[in-house]
Amino acid sequence: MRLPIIQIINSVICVVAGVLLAFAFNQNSLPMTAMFAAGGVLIFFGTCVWTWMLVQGAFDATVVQSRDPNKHDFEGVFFHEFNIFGKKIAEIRREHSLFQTKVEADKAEAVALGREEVRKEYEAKPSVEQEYRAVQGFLSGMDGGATVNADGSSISCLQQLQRVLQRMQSDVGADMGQFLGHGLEIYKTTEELMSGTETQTLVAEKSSSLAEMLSDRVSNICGHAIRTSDACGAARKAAEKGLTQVATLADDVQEIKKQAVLRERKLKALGQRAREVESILQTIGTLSSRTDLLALNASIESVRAGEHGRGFALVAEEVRDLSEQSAQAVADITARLEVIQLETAQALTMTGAEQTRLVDVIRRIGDSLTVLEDICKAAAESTSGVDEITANSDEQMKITQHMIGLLEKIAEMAKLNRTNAQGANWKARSFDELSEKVESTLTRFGGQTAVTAIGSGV
Amino acid sequence: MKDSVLNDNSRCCVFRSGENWFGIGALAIHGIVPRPEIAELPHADASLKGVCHIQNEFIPVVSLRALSSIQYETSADAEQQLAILLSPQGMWGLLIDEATTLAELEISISNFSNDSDPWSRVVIGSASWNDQVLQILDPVAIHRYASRLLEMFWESSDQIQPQLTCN
Repeated sequence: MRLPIIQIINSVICVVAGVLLAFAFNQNSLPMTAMFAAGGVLIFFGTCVWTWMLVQGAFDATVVQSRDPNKHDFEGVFFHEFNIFGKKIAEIRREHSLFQTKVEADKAEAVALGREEVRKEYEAKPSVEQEYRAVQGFLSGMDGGATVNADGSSISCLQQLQRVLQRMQSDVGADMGQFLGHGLEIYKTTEELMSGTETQTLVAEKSSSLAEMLSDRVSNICGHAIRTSDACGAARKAAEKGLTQVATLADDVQEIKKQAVLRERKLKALGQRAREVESILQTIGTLSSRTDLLALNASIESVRAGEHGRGFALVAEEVRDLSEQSAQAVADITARLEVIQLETAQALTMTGAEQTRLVDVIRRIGDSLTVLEDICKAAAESTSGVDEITANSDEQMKITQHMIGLLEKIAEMAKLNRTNAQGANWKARSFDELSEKVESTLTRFGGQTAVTAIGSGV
Repeated sequence: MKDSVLNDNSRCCVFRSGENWFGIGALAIHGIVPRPEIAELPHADASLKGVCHIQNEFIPVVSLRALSSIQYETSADAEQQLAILLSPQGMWGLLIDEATTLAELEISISNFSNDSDPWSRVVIGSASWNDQVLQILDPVAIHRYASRLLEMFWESSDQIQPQLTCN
């Protein structure tokens, strides 16, 4: 019934195409003209094909093929197969009639010949007619009591069955499509989950490795802190020892300064004694010069006395020699005393410089004492700080060890999740096989299904 | 004259005045003493240092350095001794640096005298002692030369009334 309408529509389209062709030709637009010309040729060619197919009697197939293949291909194939099935039934029925006739003839001949066993055997077997009836009853049961004619004209029942199967196919296809869509999502999710859990495992393992490195570093820091604490303690002890030694040194230097002051006093006293000796020597020198002068006067008197004064002259000469020796001795002593005084003055100068230097040394020792005291305080503070660092490092190491344990647990859990995700992934892949099975099952009812279209993406 | 000041043995008292060495006849010397306290005379010539009190006498003191025409370098121990000389008018003193000894000298008498240099008349000869050249002085000529200098000074300063000061 649809074919003439389609043909009429094709004819109308051809007419409209011709009109548009003429219009486009009048508009002198070459692309439009070419397009309409091609459209007209194709429509004409299609009309010819449809006509040829009508002539060839492919009405049923044409009806099936004219339907939307995405929606009604299964129905059409089923209808076609069921139609063939009806024809086969009719042929079987005709052959059965012939066979029944022949069987009745054989049975009559066996009865006539007294072969009861053969007759019973024939009677024990269900007849083809009975089997056919059973099929018809089954088919009528599915149709809710519809009747099937003996010539196989049970189209209405089959059409109902076809619609049921079509709905079932449609529902199962839709459900399978949804099922496969969900399976695809599960597959993708499990893939992502596997990738994520793998990344999580790697990250957890790397974090665990880093945490172990951190633990090692913290352990090293702890060891360094302990060694630093020991070094600070040793530095503090050394500083305290140095402080004691410097204090002793300061006392010694103070004693040296006292000795220097005492030595200066002694040297000044020695200079004073030297000056006193010099004064005495001056007196001795004066006496010597007086004696010399006296001896000279005596010599002059002896000269004036003439011969009587010769003995006196000898004595005077002897006295003069003695006085000259005394003067020489005084001169020698004076020279030596001058040397002593000079050296004493130099010693005093050196002692003064030494005292000045000692004062400077004492001042610097005082500064050193202050610095050493500061070092002692700093070392004590450093020891306290390093001890605190050591305690914190110990605590940090414990926390790090705990964190390593947690990370290892996380890694184990991630591995377990990955294993589970792999299982889920494999199960999601099995959806594909399941869909193929369902597809093959549905294919028995005909054509490509929506399941195939959806499942091909898996 | 010259023989009168030198005895037969020619024993002279050797003394030093600055860098110059002199000798004078031992018989003309009464004695040698350390420089006593000298009272200066106002408005007197530079050669007359003043008067001093020795052995209960006031004797005039003449400076050999100022009297002679010899150039002296300043010395710390200049004129530390006083040689007391005998003259017909009494004792007088001659300031010297140091009397060294009484030695017997071989004197070379000098007959040369220069009128223009009165000091040349005072030196009667020379001798050598301990590698030193001594000028042998005539004490009488020294006294006469000093007296003449003083007279000339006082004559030239008659207009000025001398005033003695007592410290």
